[in-house]
Amino acid sequence: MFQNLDLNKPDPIRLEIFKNLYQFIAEQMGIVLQNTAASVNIKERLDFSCAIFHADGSLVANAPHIPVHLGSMSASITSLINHVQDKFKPGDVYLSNNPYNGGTHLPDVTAITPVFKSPILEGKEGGQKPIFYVASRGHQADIGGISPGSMPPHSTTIEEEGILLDNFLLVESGNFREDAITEILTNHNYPARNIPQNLADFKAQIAANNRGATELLKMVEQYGLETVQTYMQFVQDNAELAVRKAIANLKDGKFIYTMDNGAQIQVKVTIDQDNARAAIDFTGTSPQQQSNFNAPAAVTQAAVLYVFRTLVDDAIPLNAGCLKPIEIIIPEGCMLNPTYPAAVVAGNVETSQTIVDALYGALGIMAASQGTMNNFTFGNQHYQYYETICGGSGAGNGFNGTDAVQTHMTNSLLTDPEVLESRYPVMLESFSIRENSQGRGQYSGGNGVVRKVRFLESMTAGILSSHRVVPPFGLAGGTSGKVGKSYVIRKDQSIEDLDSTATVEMQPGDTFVIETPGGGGYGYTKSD
Amino acid sequence: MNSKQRWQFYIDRGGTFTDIVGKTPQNKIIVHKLLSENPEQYQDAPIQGIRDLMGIAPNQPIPTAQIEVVKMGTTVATNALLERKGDRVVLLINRGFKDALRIGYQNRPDIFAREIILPSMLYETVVEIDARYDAQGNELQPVDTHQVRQDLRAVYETGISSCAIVLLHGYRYTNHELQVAQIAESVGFTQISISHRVSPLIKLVSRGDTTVVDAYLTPILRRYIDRITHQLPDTPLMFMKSDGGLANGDNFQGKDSILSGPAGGIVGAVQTSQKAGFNRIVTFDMGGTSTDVAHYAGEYERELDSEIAGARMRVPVLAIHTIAAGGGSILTFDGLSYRVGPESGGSNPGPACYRRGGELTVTDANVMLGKIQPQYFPVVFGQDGNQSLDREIVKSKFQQLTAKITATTGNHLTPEQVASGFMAIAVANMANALKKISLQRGYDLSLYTLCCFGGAGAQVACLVADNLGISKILIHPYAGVLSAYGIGLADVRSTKVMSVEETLTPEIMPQLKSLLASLINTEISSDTAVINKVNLKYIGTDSTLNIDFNTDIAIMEQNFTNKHKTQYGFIQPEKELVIESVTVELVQKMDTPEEAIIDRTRPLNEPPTVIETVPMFAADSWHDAQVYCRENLQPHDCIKGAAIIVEEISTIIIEPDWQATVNDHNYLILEQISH
Repeated sequence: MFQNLDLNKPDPIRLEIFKNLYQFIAEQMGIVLQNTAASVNIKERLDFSCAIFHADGSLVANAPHIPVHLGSMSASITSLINHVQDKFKPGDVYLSNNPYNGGTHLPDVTAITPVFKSPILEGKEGGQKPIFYVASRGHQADIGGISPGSMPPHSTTIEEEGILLDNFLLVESGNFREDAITEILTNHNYPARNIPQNLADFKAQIAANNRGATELLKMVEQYGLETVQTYMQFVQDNAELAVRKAIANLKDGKFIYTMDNGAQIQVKVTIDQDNARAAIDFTGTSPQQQSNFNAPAAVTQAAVLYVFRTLVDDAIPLNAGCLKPIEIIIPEGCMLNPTYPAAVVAGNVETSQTIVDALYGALGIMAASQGTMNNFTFGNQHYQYYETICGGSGAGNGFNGTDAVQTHMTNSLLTDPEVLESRYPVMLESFSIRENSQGRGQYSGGNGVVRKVRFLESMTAGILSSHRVVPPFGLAGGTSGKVGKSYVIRKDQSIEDLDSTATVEMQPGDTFVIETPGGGGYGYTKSD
Repeated sequence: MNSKQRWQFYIDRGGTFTDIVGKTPQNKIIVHKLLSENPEQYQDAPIQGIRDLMGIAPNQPIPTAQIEVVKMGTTVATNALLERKGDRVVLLINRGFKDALRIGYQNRPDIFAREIILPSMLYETVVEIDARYDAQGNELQPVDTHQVRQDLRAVYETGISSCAIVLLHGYRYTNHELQVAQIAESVGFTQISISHRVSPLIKLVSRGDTTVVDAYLTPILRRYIDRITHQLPDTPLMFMKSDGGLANGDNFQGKDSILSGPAGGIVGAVQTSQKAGFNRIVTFDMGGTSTDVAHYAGEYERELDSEIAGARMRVPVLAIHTIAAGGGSILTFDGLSYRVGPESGGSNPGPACYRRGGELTVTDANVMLGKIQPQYFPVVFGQDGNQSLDREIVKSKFQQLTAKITATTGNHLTPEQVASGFMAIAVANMANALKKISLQRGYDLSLYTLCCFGGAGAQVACLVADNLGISKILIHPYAGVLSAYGIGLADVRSTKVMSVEETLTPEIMPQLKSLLASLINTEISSDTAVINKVNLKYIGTDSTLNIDFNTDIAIMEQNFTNKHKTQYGFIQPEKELVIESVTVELVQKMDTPEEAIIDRTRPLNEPPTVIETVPMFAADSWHDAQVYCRENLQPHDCIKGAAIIVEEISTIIIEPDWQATVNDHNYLILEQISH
């Protein structure tokens, strides 16, 4: 029924079928990756995403489980295309995690596979060009750096955070370059700690990409290359239109949000109603920091995409079209567009939350959420553990915030209390909603939580968090949520207060307490 | 009296309809369908159905001596869970953890929602208990019995008589839970659900949720069972559990009841397919708002963790996947593309053709395409319930929609092309969902047979199969009531689970054997099969696989490795295997109905009667479709598409390029005609 339709404009039936098919291919890649990956981060915490791209490198469909992965691979693909030019060969796979070139932070490694119409190389190099790209990004359990798990709370340079892969050719014409990648992962001041696991996960990513390539080629066989490529464009146009509609309801605004370390994120949103375009200008944001709170440009882009996606009340595809009506301005060298060798590991998990809240603040949409992921780590030579902890969500016009829930750029699961106590020498003393920590107003914010972990062995514990100093703001007359706090109750009952980021030596009988921030309220409280 | 001379009834009490299959004293199968709720006519649909089938007058008592057994599946508990209408429950949990179930695993259901809406909790209040075990079973703090008694009395006085006891590490160290249960009993609680009895497995949150569900629903089930028992005194009553086995009424609990309805369908599909010689099937049960699918490749597939209506359940249930698309999925044009669902017209107002002002749905598209012929549907629509499906409103609504699409896009289409475009999308969405589920389990769907049953499935089965590369479809003569029939084919099963969490080594074998033996705490009859299984996983992971127990460790390891390779495509030989838990399943075969062989009475060269020929739009053109009546078909009849086979309760569409044949057991087998 689809024969002989013209390709100058989208056919509404085919548009819907193709939209769903592209999305489904990305999801299939995700299933293959989740099934074949060995590391718990990918298999059980679902910290990965897969995507397919047009021949020009623009995003066609992706399937993230965690918003911080949203659309953030596009820049990696573009960078790779610029780097390799016309030297791509069938059977090649590249690796990248470069935060100054489309990456987010080092543990998120992207495998990119160019897809060719024919798997056989015709004639000399450059005989044919890729017709699509497929890519998968997975959070590696460890990629080297000064601390196990590669999430150091106090890194100051990228080298301390681990190994940087910049468009590294992992598979060349079908040959897995095991020696070369092992060399890179080993030959570093702070080498990777579990290379077999890295290799296993890379292979799973390659398998996921292969699935995507196979499915795309099946589509080409069924519908023809021109149709498949043209509809990739139409699907992007479709998403663009949905975002333009959402922009039409927005107003200009600006916002400055200070972080606990004194740095500030400044954003100005200008809406061009006539052309249904938005300009988002981060000029005025603090310069690159000595700490690791710098957020690579890809993180800011993901945050912007997330916010605009939440403004569309429909399941639109997430692709390059969503960003077309949006101009993002981030001055180079500021903390949202850092340059080598800035440390960036907290940008992905902390600064990203601040960017989202600042955007909602500028748009007047909703009050701040807890604005942190409360990254809590502990370990010694036998055990390593990492978790992020929920808090309160912000209120908006017409709705209350929610207590004790993952907000905005993360949605990762927490380990069950019984599993935690069985696998690690710790005891969970309590885990409960932190009453009265929410912001008030016509609509109140959500409450944070209180989590108390008692240590049964000597271990090093770390907290990487925000909003211990600056409270999550309320909006339109609502009050702010309570700041979070972290402290240690020593065995002798003495208390040590901790900063937003801290590393502490824990002894048996000591308790680490984390109180997470509440969300801000919205609107003036109505008096009786 | 010989059991062969008494009645058996298999009943599926669903949300809208109650289906009843009766086996007469003469071993004949008769089927019956009635509304589940019809208070003007009768109080209980199952009881009324039994009366109807036995021919008992309204003022006469049911002669229960003539009934051998009644087997039921019921959605009574499922509906109470969905509508949050269970009993009032108090949660008893360790101090410091009153919010543990509310916080759960801290994730939100929709990552792009500005307002985060979490499922509401089933318990009304919480009492924190001063008591604590550590993970190794050391008692850090004994139960403060005085305080517990005082707190429970206070709660009991507010009118709450159902409690859920969930204590840390209670799955393994059970003393604290038992102590608290004893106090609850002495205070007067009538429903006491104890986590280690409900689900003796690690994970506080999901075991806790399961225990709360049990406390919330069991009292409702008890009252329902009592009501039925009261009307059928001295009649053995059995219920279908979520795991596909039957339980005696006395043992039927809330935690096992959630999938009671759909489980019957899976058992029916599996048992009947096997009898027809198909050993790899995908079940396909399409209803109004959703479609249930499941795989079968030699044994029932169960999963330990599931989430139903916002409750995390940790009990073995049949692996049934629900796709949010059905005959009632609404069709819209958003200005750029056609959309099918996710909104549904449900049963009220239902599709536009139901004459209740509904919007266009998948069912209406089939009316437009001539695949649903109103003259063969029950005459129950309209204000007085005496009109047929409204074909005219469907036509006029599709004409309006077509005009809108033409005006927006400039594409000149006919209304039937528009309807068939929507169907293409609905079918693709459904096929994608099916493919995704099979990919997750590592199956190649093209090797499977689609077993189609329920209301609307046979209207789209050929199209879905085409899309999936499936070339065979099986439709049982009782496909319209297959859930009820399946309940009649099920075995009595009871499954005991026990947490282990130890490394798989030769040293653990004696302990494992005695553990398995200890789980069989009842006398077992000679006709009972005992199936021992272990749930194994690689150390440090959560991906558990269910493996047959064997005294030879090497065999279990090999089976795990094979299964892991099939499902995940890789193995990790360097990692130790951990026994997460063991299960013992007791299976008692029931006396089930035989599938009768049907004799052909018409000569072989005489084809079945064509009732009429109607226009049907398929594969982008109109066809003359011949309409046949299902009950006229006989073994060896072969019908080529395009054709329509009508039954009392459903319509089977044979697309062009497909043909239908009837086998000796009166099964309909649809096959793709190869070119």
